[in-house]
Amino acid sequence: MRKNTPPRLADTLLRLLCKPEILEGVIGDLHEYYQQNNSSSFKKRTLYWFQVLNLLRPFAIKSIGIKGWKFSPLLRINFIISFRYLKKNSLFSSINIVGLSLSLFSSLLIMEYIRFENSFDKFHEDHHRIYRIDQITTQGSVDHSATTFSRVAEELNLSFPSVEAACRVHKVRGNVVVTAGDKVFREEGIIGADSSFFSLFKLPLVAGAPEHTLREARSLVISKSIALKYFGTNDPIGKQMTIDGAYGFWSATGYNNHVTYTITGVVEDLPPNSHLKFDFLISLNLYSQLENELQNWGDSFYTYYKSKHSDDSSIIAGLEKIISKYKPDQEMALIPKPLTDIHLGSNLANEFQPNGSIKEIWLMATVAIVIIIVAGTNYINFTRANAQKRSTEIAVGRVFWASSSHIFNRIFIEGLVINTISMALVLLLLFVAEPLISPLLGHRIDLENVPPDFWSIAVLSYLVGIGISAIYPAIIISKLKLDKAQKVNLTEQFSIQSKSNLLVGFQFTLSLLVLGFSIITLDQMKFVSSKEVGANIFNTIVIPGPTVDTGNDSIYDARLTNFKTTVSKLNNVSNVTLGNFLPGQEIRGQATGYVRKIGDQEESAGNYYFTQVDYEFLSELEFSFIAGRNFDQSFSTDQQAIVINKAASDLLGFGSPEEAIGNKIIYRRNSTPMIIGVVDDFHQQSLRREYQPIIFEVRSNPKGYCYLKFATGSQLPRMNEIQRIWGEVFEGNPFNYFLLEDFYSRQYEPDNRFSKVFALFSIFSVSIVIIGIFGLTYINAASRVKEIGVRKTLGASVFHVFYTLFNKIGIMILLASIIAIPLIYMVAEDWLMNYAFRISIKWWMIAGPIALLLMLAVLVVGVQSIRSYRLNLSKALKNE
Amino acid sequence: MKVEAKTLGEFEELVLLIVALKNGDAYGLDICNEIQEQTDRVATIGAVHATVARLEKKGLVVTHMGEPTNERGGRRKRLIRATKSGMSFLVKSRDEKVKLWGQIPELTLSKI
Repeated sequence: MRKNTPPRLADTLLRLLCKPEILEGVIGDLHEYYQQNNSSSFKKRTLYWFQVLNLLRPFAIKSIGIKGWKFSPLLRINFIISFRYLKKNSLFSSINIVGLSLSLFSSLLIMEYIRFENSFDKFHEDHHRIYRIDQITTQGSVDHSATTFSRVAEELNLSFPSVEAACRVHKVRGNVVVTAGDKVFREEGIIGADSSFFSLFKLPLVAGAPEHTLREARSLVISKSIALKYFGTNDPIGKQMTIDGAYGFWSATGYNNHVTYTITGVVEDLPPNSHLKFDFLISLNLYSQLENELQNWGDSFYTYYKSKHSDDSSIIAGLEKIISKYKPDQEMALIPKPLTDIHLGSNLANEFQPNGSIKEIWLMATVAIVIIIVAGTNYINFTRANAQKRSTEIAVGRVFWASSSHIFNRIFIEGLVINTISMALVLLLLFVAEPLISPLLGHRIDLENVPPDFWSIAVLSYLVGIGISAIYPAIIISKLKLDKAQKVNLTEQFSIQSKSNLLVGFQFTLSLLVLGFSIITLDQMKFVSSKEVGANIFNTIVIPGPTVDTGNDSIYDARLTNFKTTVSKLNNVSNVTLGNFLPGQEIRGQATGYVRKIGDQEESAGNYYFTQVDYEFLSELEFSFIAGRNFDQSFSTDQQAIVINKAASDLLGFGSPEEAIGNKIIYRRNSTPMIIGVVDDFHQQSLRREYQPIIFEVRSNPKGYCYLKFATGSQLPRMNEIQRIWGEVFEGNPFNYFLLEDFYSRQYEPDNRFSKVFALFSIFSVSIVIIGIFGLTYINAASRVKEIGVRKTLGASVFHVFYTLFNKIGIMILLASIIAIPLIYMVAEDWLMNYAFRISIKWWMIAGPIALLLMLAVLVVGVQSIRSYRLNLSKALKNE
Repeated sequence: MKVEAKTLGEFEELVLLIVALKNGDAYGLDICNEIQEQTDRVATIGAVHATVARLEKKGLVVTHMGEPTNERGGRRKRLIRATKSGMSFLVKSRDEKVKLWGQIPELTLSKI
């Protein structure tokens, strides 16, 4: 949350502009006003800004000039002339300002987006010496995973002299409930880590000593915001927290999932640009025989190490030795990946969180460059064309002994004024529209505390803008010689035109590329959101199952049955069913390298997902059976049976789903369940992923998630009623729920954001191109008034006039299309490869942008031609 | 630079009145709040400061910085006090109005 102080930027503005003698009283008044106001923070700040801007009236503003140095009269007159000139040519001034502001705005935002994505994990001390171990398995199917087995970190710590510290991080997936005192919440962001965690990642601790935080068994480090949530302002160190559903252990009474930890440290919340995020960090030092225990956890550890030197090749050979020591019969490799490469360079299975993509960064950067180039060339074209119109003005100046530098100053100051106005507009827009922009960027631009990088980007774009649009035209115009300045002859006019044409053609190509690509991404996103999942995820409410104090299995079973039957009798609830997985989220159970048909070799075993559902689950969520049947309570043998999906049936090596029915497979130790049904493939996760092979087992009451089905078109069930029942049956368990379809579509959030941002900026760039066409045609028509008049006298129709104005632009668009078509195709095809399921590029997606650009150009030029054609002939012919 | 005050705008007069009634303790925000309380209309801090600056130019008020206090983070208030000519302007303005009021026939008043 923002601090309760008035916007600092507003105060700075006042300090800059306000007369010193009244400043103190005014700021005092404003602050008092701010403190008096009891509205919401946003409203308060807006009102404050209003008051500040309202204050900046002539009486309060100090006279322009830097201390002791007044503007020289000549410089001052230049400013005045610039403003007059801008006012006189208000059409071109506004075109220039709008174009420049649009381009500055979008390139600023894009650069901020890129800056943020690029800044991931760079806040860590020694980030260039920290690596994560990726694991590549090439057995059966190729599998790149961000996690590996426990022995890797153990070996790195013990037998690698060049490793300063290594650490395992284990992410707890699934339902976790945290209790402290009377506060009970369902929590995410729980990880387990070795005690070396804080010597690798030197995170700032708010409380506790880094070397002691994780050493003791059952010690826990929490984030600052969690400390505030549970303990308020009290000191949390030494307090206890009970975590249900994270790490359990076997005791005399059975498996115990209810563990109490002692808080030994509080860490600052991790910044948004960290790939590794957590709220609770449990010491993995949980067991007496730690290494033996962790060995059974499979490939589930993110393994980080800090090397003593930033470049270390001895590690690679050492990692090979680890494999030959622990997994001699497996084809696999361990590869260190630099910490800072993870966010943009890693898209493996089991990533800690969905990462960004370097390709998208490049695409965004391209758009930014396109927009800058397009706006810059516009400006240059306008000034070139205007130079002819201004030739008389310059010539008069020359006659009165104006030197080149005088003229240069004049034109330069004009550009400076335009750029400054645009930049001011952009900053204003940024601050006003920040709540709208932030969701598009995916992170907040903290306007109170703008990172210095952002300012340097802004200053840089401002300077580049001045370079392009102030210095360059000033040079061109100040070099005009007196004789030429008086009268620019026709041949020169055309030579200027041809240079402009090249730039215009370049603009067209780039904007077509951006627009075409954007249409394809939008269509892919439409496809993604409309494609059938393969199961009915609609009209479904999911309640994460109970985790606290579930007692032993039989008591728990009875309670769940009780809850199920009570709730399914409620109005609007058509049924309640239970399953241990969620569509739209990676299934927790992964069987790697042992599941196979009876008789097959273990080497040929592939990787499968497995999960548990109740008897009604598959039929309630409308999975379509392509062979066999669903689980049936009346067959007692079904408890040892499985249902698989088509991908699993194919991977097991059955010719057809029917063939799979009745076969037994080697599953866990001493278990050879029979396949009784095959369901059609469905999209367990986003369309980026291929169909996954999944094995369903049956349990009477799996406790992962309760699925509440309600009838189409009916109202949502009364959730407070259900919450009451929940509270009675599962006392002490927090109640949360969400709509399954919302949860499922959340996995497309980054993709949607990308395509939206891209579409927005491609519209910007096309608008700037159209502004350019308009400006050029306007100047072209204005400088050819007499020619058009003569043509008209000789009987030319309005179409002829249109033709004379349009032919060059039309040819440029056609040429640009020829270059743009293969470009669009290549770039879009490359991007679509991110998706396992994708649209094919159709002709209209490429023809559309071309048609659009042509249409807009025809429209703009058409209006101009009609205007010039309708000009009074006598006036046109007199024009010189 | 003293300009002889002949007439004042309605808002200027309102501000001057409030300055007079505060008896030397008036400052920017205080006047804003007072205006809102007494007349139910909203004046921005900017409007008040601008008006005070005009009144000061006309010689009807004088301003000086007060002593620093704790309440505004040590910032001093810019206190405003009406001058003699300010007070006499108010008296004159009131007398004029009262005179005019006295001349409105009863008949017209009863129509309201």
